[in-house]
Amino acid sequence: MIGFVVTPEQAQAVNAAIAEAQTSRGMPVFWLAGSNPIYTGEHAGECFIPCDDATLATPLIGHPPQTPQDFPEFAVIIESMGGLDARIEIPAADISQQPEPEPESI
Amino acid sequence: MNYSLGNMLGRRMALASLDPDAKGYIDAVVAAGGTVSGTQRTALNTFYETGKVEGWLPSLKRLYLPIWGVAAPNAICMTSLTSGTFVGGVTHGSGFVKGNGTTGYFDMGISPNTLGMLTTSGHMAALTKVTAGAGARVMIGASDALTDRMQMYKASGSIFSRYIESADGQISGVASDTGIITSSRTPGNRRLYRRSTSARSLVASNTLPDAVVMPTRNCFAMASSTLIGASFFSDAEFGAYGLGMGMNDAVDEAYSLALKNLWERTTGLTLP
Repeated sequence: MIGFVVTPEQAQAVNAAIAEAQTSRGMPVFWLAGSNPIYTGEHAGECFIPCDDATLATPLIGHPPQTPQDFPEFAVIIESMGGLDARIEIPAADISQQPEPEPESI
Repeated sequence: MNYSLGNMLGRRMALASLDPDAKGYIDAVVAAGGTVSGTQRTALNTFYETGKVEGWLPSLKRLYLPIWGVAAPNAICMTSLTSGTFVGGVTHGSGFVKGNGTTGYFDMGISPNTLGMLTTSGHMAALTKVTAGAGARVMIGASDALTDRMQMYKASGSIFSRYIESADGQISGVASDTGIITSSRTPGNRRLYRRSTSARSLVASNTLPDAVVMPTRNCFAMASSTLIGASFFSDAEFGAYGLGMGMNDAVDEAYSLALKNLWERTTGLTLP
């Protein structure tokens, strides 16, 4: 999985900025990059913001659809995390801790 | 010439006679960048009109039809016209959305408790086009604690439904998660159904007593809300999902048939 590894505070700020890009245009918040706590591995304790090519190309709104990259705020947000080259690969298992027993096992 | 005139008049008459709720949803989808064909307008209109005649439409608190290939129209609720939020890795295909199984889900932005769902009355529905991968994969779910869970999920070749209880009240059966899966809670009864393209069947049921309280965390599709956020991500392809008040067997049957017809007529696809 490729994306940005940031602090929990940075992750919150990034998603707040993405939300603001929508609400400032009078739109509801219908899309967020999201963030996932990293439980294990080299970056345990930090947060992962997924940002693969599919995410960058998500059809968001309009016809033809605009993608995140069509919003000027998005470039600023990406730069705030060091640019696309700052993305790193982490194993999916690092963010996959389950908070409860497997549903079928209880 | 006559054909064209007839076509134009027919289209104008069809538009003029749209059910107001159908028109509201279509307008919202178009405003958000969706393209709604004449066939799709007719299918949507039929869905709303049928729901009013058969009486199940008012039971629907949230229903999403994420077939439009674009996030903003896919996020619009057919009954409230509010928007939920896609989060993380979600593909917006033609006729479906698909989470990546690790980060992607849909947040309806409201909890079952706030929606007015009751411990004795609730309903969940998911239209699954392509099955989810291995492991516990939630179709739709909200969870406050081990005893306050409202979830429908697939695991180990079976489908499961929990409605506000721990393992005692969980119902399940060996069945594919494709097709339309519905779970209904009415006083003293829980039922789990699957509708495929050719048949509808009762997968499981029980009559355990009602219990505890409704979840106050938001309801998600393609994952469940939990104490640490979204979990049990699904990578299935979904054509619709929603929730509302409890439905008896006949009402559930009518609703799932109408949902099948709606999805098939708006996508040109066939329910698995």
